[in-house]
Amino acid sequence: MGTVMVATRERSRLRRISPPPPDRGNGWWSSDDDPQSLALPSWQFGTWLGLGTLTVLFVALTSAYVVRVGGDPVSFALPPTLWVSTLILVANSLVLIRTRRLLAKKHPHFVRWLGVSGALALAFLVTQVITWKLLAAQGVFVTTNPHSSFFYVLTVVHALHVVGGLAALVRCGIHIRRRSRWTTLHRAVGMTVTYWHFVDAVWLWIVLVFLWTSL
Amino acid sequence: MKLSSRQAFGYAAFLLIFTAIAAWTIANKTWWFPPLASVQGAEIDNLFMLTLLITGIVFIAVHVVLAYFIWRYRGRPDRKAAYITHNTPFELSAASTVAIALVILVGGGTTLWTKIQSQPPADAFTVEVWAEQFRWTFHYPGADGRMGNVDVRFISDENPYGLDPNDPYAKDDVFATEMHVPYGKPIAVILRSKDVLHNFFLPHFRLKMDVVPGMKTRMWFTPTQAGVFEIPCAELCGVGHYIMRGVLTVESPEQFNEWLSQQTPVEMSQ
Amino acid sequence: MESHVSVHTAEATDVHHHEPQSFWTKYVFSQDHKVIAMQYIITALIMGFIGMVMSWIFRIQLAWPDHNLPFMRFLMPTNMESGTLQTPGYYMLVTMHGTIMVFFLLTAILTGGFGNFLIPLQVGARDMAFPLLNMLSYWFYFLSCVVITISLFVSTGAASAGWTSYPPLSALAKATPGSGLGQDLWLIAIALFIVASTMGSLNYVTTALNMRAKGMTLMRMPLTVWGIVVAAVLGLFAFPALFAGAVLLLLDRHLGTSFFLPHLVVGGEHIVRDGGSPLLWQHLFWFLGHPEVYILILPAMGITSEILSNGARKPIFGYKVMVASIVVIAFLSFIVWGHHMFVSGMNPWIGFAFVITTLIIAIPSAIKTFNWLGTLWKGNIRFTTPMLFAIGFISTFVTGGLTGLFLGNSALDIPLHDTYFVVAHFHVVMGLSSVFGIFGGIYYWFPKMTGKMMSERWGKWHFWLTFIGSYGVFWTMHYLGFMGMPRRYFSYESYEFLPPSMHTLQIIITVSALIVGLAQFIFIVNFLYSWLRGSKAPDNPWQANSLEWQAPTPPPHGNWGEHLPQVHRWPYDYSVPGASTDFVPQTVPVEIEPTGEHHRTAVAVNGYTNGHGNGRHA
Repeated sequence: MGTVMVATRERSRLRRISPPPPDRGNGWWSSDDDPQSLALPSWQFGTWLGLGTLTVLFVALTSAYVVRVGGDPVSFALPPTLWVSTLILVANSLVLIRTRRLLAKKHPHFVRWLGVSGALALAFLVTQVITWKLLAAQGVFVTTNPHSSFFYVLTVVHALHVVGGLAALVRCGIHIRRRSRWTTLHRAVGMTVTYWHFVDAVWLWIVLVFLWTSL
Repeated sequence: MKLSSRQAFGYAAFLLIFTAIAAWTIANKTWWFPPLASVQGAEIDNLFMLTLLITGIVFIAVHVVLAYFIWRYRGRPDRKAAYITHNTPFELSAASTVAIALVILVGGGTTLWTKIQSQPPADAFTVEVWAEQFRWTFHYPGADGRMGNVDVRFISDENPYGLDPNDPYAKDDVFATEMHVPYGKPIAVILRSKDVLHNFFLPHFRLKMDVVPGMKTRMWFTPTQAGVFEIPCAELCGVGHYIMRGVLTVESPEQFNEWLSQQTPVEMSQ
Repeated sequence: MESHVSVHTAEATDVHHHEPQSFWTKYVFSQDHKVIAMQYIITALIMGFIGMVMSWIFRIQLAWPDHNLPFMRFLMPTNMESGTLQTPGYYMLVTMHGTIMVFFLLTAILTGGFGNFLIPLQVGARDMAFPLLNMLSYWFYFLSCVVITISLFVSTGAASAGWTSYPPLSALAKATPGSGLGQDLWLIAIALFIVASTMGSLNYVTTALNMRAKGMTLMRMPLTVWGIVVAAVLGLFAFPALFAGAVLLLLDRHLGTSFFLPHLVVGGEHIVRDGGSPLLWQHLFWFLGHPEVYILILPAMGITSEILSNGARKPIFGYKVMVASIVVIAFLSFIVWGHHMFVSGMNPWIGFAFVITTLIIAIPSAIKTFNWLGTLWKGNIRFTTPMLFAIGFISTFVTGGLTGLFLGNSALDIPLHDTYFVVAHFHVVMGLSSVFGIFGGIYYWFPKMTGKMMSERWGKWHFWLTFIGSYGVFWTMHYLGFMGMPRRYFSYESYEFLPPSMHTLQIIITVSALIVGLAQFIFIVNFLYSWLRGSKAPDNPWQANSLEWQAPTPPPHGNWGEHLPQVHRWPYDYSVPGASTDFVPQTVPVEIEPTGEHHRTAVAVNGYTNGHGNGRHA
């Protein structure tokens, strides 16, 4: 019984111990009785986390750019092909929205739209190369001035991510060919679509940044 | 549980001995800063002592408590640990105490920082410094009393210190391998680098500042005594970083003027 | 919600079906988190050994400048041909020592080693969320180790501009030996390492958040998991800044851009550039660099909390506050980086702001220290080898943390910056505290990883020689800082302001370092011998509560048998009043006392407590 006395004495110094409150499942967690995971499947959460990392990469490059140029405006003309690239990627995002809707309904036409997205990505890359060539023709190279340096760095790093997106599309294609399990396919396409939206968003961001610094 | 007692005793003993040695060597200033030679340095030293006092008390207290707990609560089969999970009032008061100590340190520190980083007084004597791999060069005005403009872009074999050819005040400027300053006024230093990062460090004055290519960095201080003081480089600048040693002489205005008059201006071939 | 459930079970069964078959898929290209963990640990320890040997050489130079070690010419043919270390070799060793230790040893072993092994086991999952990505993470790390090691053998020398690689020194081959190909390989190795780290971190965070066993709420997770997962989040959001910097530096080096380089004259030659700033590199580097050191300390703090609680047979004091402190420290770590740049020429007002954020971060760190002491208070301490290291963590973290207060206060930093005071500070927190977390963790989890026990006797020798010796090295170094000795000095002979007693201190430091070095052989032999021939380990040798101790030893692929564990309590139910044992594993159900919540009777039934195991559920 000595132990009880000790326990009660300890009691007064401890906060009241009470049974856990019922989990309310506040939307972040998946349900009331299974609060040990998120409302998102792992592949989706992991994709978002990875995009977080990539976001910091582009933010770091952008802030380096802003700091480096101080207030100096862009001294070269942004080639008009830039707008073509932008339209292509905006179209790509619309295609992707369609793809995701069809995917959710398990409608087989999502495959075609994935193909369209791939074609648009290739078109984007071609337009990018033309943009770079136009700049070079103007005499604007990576070393010309800080604005051009960062323009090339940001667009090349972005283009590399477009290539990565193409690789993801190819992987989806392989799953489609192989007639992989629906969950596998769904996961692959879902990740790819999210990633592509991100790549499109980064492009818009880059264009906006250079618009802003040309003011 | 004899092993437990042996480990506990050894641990507690070591912690106490270590704490005692640490406290004693510091209180005794057995190995200490070089002799103080500037007004700013005196204030830095004061802040250092305050910080040392606060951190010293914590260091000793934590180690004494740790040693005590190790010994007092060493494991024995007949004992049982207490089931204590937390104590919020304690946590809050501990955090508050720490916060108060920090506010004191931050308050003192930021006030001093603002002072040190302020503009030098109007009567400050200005010296400009070129840092390069692996030496210091000190730039003084010539007979016209005006410092000429220098820039890395003008550096050439004929113009090793980058004097601006369009600046009439530059022609008679003096470049010395030693730094001399007159005692009795604040000294302002403007720092430039030719090549890589360096750092102009004055241990006796408790001051240092990076020398950054592409920028001018500045610092100022008021010497409290005449003397000869070494200037080590304090930012890795290559294989000669450790022998990039400058020498600062603080001397009477008369001695300084005499020294300056003996320095010959650099001749620039036009 | 339906899709979640199906995905969750699908993930569980996915892993279950991928039982590896061949030697290659079982031991080399394994997707099992435990194998990957061992790969990380072994590789990191080897890299750490290389880094340690480097330190012996430059410490010998500092204590005995007129040394002569003829056998060294086999190890360093270019820079120790005569048996005496040459200056370029010194700077290469100092640079590579720092680089290897920070990234390739500490980061890799804490996140890749302990993160991989412990997270699935401690949260009750069968494996990580993305096993293939996990495997790739190790092989990218391995590749980065290969690249950095190759850089040591390049004819123009390995990188020599410090582990901080500040341009212009690191940007121009003419500026210093090592800034040729060696620096390129450094940048590539770091980029590969960052990719590896990112892949790993995606796994650690997703697994801990999304694959916990039933009943394992966030506030029932061991602090080890909290420390590693939060460190992983830090890595995800901080490493990209260094990656960006590395890309830009490579361009400055090879394409003639001017990100970090203004117009310069190096070696008599004009380097014509257009207004770049070395400070830009420093901002990018330290934006990672500061969170990086918290990546190194948070897992070690988690491990220490685990071991202290277990060794003192007492709950960790203030669990909730410990979790909150870890999160607050992580958040604050993103806004203190400028304290590495107080005297960089940066705008002093920015420095002002960084003083405030830096000193704020001291508060959660101090709270954690009080809580560790509170854990020992009224405990019943078992002095096992892991516990010795965990207690040592408290001492070294306090020592190192307190010296941080000097450096974080900008005005005080001025005389101390770039002196041995800084070197002492970061070695005490990283070389002592972080490493003690690692050693404590290895001794603690070795039985579960390998199924064998390490020798306690040799463990204690290893600890005492390392602890006392390391303080001999790094406490002594503070005095060199007071005296004003700058860091990264090949020798200090030519300076009169440094008194002759400095020489004595240098010798004390080097002799202590060599003793500590020798002591590590005790650890290596203990580790290898025990793995091969050690006595069989019981499932729960430390009588600990967290889930990994409920798994078989060593755990098979899939960790648990047919059924995942079910969690009913937090992992710190040690010495619960009324329990028949002084530990209650997390899987033991709680019986709600029928008399209501105000009393806890002390009747033990079949080893279960009759009271509430704990009340702190989230």
